[in-house]
Parts: sequence; C-alpha cells; structure tokens
Amino acid sequence: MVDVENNPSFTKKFLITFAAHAGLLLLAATVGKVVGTIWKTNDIEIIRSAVRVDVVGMPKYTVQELKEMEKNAVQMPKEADAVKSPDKVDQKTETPDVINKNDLVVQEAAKEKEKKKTNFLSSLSDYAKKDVKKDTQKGKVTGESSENIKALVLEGNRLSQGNALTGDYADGPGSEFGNYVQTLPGAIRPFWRLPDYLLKKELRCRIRIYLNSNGSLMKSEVVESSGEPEFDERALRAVKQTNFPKPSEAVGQRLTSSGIILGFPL
Amino acid sequence: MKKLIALLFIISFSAYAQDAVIAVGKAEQDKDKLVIDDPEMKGLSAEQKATATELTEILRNDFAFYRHKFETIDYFDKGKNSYSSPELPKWKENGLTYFIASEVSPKGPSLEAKYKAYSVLTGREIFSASFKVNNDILRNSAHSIADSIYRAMTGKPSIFTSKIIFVSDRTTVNKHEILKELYIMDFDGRRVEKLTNFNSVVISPSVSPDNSKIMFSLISNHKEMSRNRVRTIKNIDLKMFDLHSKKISTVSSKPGINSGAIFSSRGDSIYLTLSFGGNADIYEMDLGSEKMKKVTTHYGDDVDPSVTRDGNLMAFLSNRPGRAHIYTMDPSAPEKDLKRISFVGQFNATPRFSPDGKDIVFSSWVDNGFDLYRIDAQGNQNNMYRLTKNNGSNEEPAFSPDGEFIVFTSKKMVTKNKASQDVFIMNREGEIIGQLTNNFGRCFSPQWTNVLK
Repeated sequence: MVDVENNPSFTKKFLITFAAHAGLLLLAATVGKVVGTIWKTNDIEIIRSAVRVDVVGMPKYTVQELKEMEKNAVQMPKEADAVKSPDKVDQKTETPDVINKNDLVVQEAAKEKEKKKTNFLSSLSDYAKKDVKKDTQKGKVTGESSENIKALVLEGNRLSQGNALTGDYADGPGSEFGNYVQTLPGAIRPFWRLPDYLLKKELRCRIRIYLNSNGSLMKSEVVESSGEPEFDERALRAVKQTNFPKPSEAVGQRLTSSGIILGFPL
Repeated sequence: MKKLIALLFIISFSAYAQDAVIAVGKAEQDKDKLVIDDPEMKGLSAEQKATATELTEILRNDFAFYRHKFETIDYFDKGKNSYSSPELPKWKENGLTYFIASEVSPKGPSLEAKYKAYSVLTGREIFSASFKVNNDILRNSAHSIADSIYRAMTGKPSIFTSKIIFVSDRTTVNKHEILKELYIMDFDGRRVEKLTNFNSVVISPSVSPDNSKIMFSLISNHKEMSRNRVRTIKNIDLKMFDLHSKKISTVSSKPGINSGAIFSSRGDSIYLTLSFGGNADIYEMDLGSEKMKKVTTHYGDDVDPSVTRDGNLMAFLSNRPGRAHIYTMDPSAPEKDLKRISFVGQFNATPRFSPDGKDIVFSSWVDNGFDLYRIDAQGNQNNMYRLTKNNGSNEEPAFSPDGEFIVFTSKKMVTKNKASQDVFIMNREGEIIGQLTNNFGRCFSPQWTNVLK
C-alpha cells in the first residue's frame, strides 16, 4: 500500500489531473453555452412561426358575391320608398339603413356634432338641475343624464336618419328646413357617379340649387368649381336627374328664394 | 348666463345656416357609356367594306374586356355620319361619355382608317389619328388603334397589344408520354402560335421585362458515360427562347435544376429554385457571368418566386411553417425583411405580384380544388378577397401588365374520367371575362407579356 498523503508525486499528479478536469469542464460548459444559444435562436424562430398560424379563415364569399349582397341590401329601402305616396315623404325611409362602408358623409358627422352641442346643452341643464338634488341623493348621482349621454353615444354610432326629434340640423332644434335638406344627399346619391379616373383625383365642387314649391329643380349653378369641367358636369347631371322630395310650404319658399348649396362630395 | 349661452348658440347656428353646405358624399364609380360607331365608308369595294366592319368589331370586342369601366352601347342614331358631322350636344343629352367615330377610305392597295374620339361631357375631341390598315395584319392594326384610343381616354396603356404565352399538351400522341410545348396568343385568345417543337415537356415559362425572351424549363436527355456505356439521364434544363431570332439557347443544364425561374426586374439576372443542397432554395443567377447568389437560406423548401417591377420585393412559397405558405422579402440580401403573408389555407401556391406591387394573387386549396385569392402585399388579412368559386379548380394566376386583369387556368371535369383545362381571363375583382382557349389540349402556366411604354 502506498502512502498516498505523503507522496509528493501523487499530489503533483493529482493537481495536474484536477486542473485538466476543471479545464475540460469549463470547455464543455462554454461549448454547451454556445451550442445552447444557437439552439435557442432556432427554437424562437419555430415558436414564432407556430404561434401566428390560423388567425382568420379564408374568405368564403367572392368579391362578386359580396357586391351582389351589398347591392340587394341597398336596394331594399328604395323599394319601400316607392310604395309610399309622394305626398307623404317620410324622412326616415329616405336614407337607406344600410350604408356603404365608404359612405363617409360629413353632413351626417356635422349633424352629430350639432346634435351633441344641443344635446349637451340639454344634458348640461339637466345636470344643473341634478346638481341641486345631488346633495340629497348621493347614491344615484347621474341617473337621467348618464342615460342621456348613453343615448347620445349610441346615436353617434348610428349613421341612419334617426327621428324628427333628434335629427337636428344647423337651423335649430327640430327645424323643418333642417329635416328636409338632410334628405337631399340620399336622394342625389344614386345619380352621383364618377368614372374611375375622376374618383381617384379627389376633387370637390359645390352647386347651389333652387327648388320649386313642388320640389322640382328650378335652377342649379356651380358656385365652386373643381377645376375639372367633367367633374362639375357630372355633379350637375346628378342634381338634374334627382327627384327631390316635395318640401313643405315654408321650406319650399326658402328653397325657391335662397336655395341651398350642395357639396360634392363635401 | 344660461340664456346668454343658448342665445349665442342660436345666433351661431343661424349664421352657419346661411352658407351651410349639404355634403352629398363620395360618388360611386360609374361605368362610362361608350359608343364605337360604324365607320363612314368612302368608295370601298365589298371586300374592303367587310374589312372595315371587322376592324370595328375587333375594337368593340377589345373595349368589352374593360366592361368594369366601359359600357359599350349601340349608337341610337345608326347610319348618321358621326365622323364628318359629330353631334356632341345630342350625345350628351343621351348620357354618353365617350364617342368613337371613324372613316375608312381606300389608299393604294390598303385602307386608310381615320379615328376620332370625343369626351362627350366636356365636348372635347381627345383623339384624332389616321392609320394604314392591311387585311393581313388587320388584328395587329385594330389592337394598336384600340390601344391608342384607350390611352387617350384613360391616360394609361391597355392590354390590347399584349400577348399571353402558355404551355399545352395538345401534341401528345401517347397517353403515357405526355408532350408539352410552348404557345403564344393574343390577349383575346386569337392567333395562337406554336413556339417550340421539342417533343418533350416544357415547364413554367417566364417573359423577360423587354418581351424579347422567354425562359422556361425543359425535360431533356443528358448522355452520360458510366461503366463504359452511354446512359441517358433525364434532366430539367433551363432554356431561353429569343422571340426575335426564334433561337433557343441553354441557360443552365446543371443536374438538379428545377423549374420556376423568373426574370429579375432589370432582366439581367434570374431567380430560380435549386435543390442540390438537399432542400429547395431560391437563388439569383447573373445571366452574364452565371454567378449564383443565395436568396433564401432556411432549411425549409422555398420555391416559386415572384418579384415586383421595381425589384424591391419578392414573394415566394415556403413550407417552413409546416405547410406551404406565402412569404415576402427583400431579395437584395439573404432572408432580408422576411415577412409571412398567408396564415390560413391548407395549401397555398403560385403567389404573383400585381404590376404596381401592391397586390398578390395566389391559389389556395379549398374543399376539393384550388381557388384564387387576392391579398395586399403587406399581408393585411382584412384585405384578402376571394376571386373564384364554383368554376372548377383554378390555378396559376398572373396579372395583366396594367393590373386590371388576371389570367389563370381552370380545370373542369367533362366526364367522369376526363377533365378539360383551359386558360381564362377575369378582372381583378373576380368577374370572369371569358375563356381564351377551347379544345386546345390541357393548358398550363399562362403568362402575360409586358406592355412597353
């Protein structure tokens, strides 16, 4: 048996072996780390590809089918119109309920704005009333006014006509004139068509129209030209082809004397 | 105070009402009403009259392809001399947008056709030119007249002078040894011409940007010496057909070359798929030096490249996510700006860019056949549109040079064991314009030639 502890050559050899092993271990760790990083990047890539699969399905309907559906949806309210007698033109049915996704009508937006202003005023006054009671009824703070605001928000999301009470126009709350002119875009739009190249140019023209008391077109004039004669001409033609609804006597008088300006498109 | 505010509101309202503008809203796209009137014929023989009539018919047929833009209608005053005495106010009254009038008279052995086009709404004459028309090149003349008028009307080139190349197996004699050759025809399916006589199989042709060359793959026989015996090995070689000299040259005959080579936007290099590395990758090869550059490096298979006209974007098909899906990337460096475009569909194939590089049309396996879809090049999934349905299996789409049409093949079962496969054309909204080939064997890989400005 060799005395291990007191053998200097053993200690020396032991140290060398130890150093060698430590070195090997370190090397293995480093190599492992490097290999690991490479492996990891590959892993990430695979996960990325796998996670992003199957978000939506392939579209079922063709473009042609969708167009057909849209056409049918828009045509339906028009048919309903035709049934009604021309004397009783109902503003609610004048604008189709289904509105094309591209139909960005600023007039509607402006109307909503006005509505917000007036409604805001009324909700303000409501709020003022509520203020008095507020101290006594701390539990239900904004009962009615929050209802109002909710209704207001709901109406803001809607592009359809609404009813006579909420469909304000710039002329003041529930104005007859306001209600009448709001029906004009819907009446004109079926005839307001442009060829492809003019659509892309994003032009604008404005036309003032004067109507007879029976709603027929008395006069139309370009008050602001687009600079492109064909564009103006198309807008004028749309106005001329439109069958305007019969206005009431007061509205008719105003349309005969001062007319109204139509913006194509704004 | 409240009253004062209310008063102010009312005042501002009434002031506003004075010059209130009622916004009518955005206009719908309208089809232009177009009349191509019968020509006034001056001193023509019966035969020449027939030529003049045919000329007009070709023009009408050409414009009918753009039916999403033009509604070609008959002239209500047939027989009136619309060329010598145009009646613009009357045309305007009848809602016409464009009017094309013509006069044909003899000039030596050929005919002289004078054309005038009017924009009726503005009352302007937008086109006036005279053309020499020969009976033997009647269709050529008619298409170029139609193209000139279309350019005057829209400011853009038409497809009327373009051609479509395709592959057909109609020369096959033996069912077990299918032969496919290369053909070229007018955009309207007329004047089909056979370009190759290999008695072999031509695969996936591609047209150079200047229309002078067609590149395609060909299954050819390579002779090889092995163990002192000559062996014949089938190999897919890359060939180039010069349309002017009608000469065919070999671009590359290295073993392992696959089909699917396309020209780069400049035409001096090609993108092709090579599979010698074990998996298919896309390479760019310089046509002069034959130097290769790897474009995709992933271990998945990358095939079927398509590049935009500016050369900045490449779409290709890759199975790296597990199934065949569409990717885009910048082909200037390997895997640069890689982006996945398609996420659904069992199997997507043949992504092809529109000329403006904004859209990609591709085929996707649905139920039991392929149908065509269009998506924007950014891969916005909301802008994916289905184009075909219930029209057999629709594959291999390619955009027209003006981006308005898509040519594709449609396979339909004729009987239980027999299927027809023909070339069809539709507009980019999926409205089928017509069938270009009929009873012409099975047709494959239609490609549109470019329109040179």
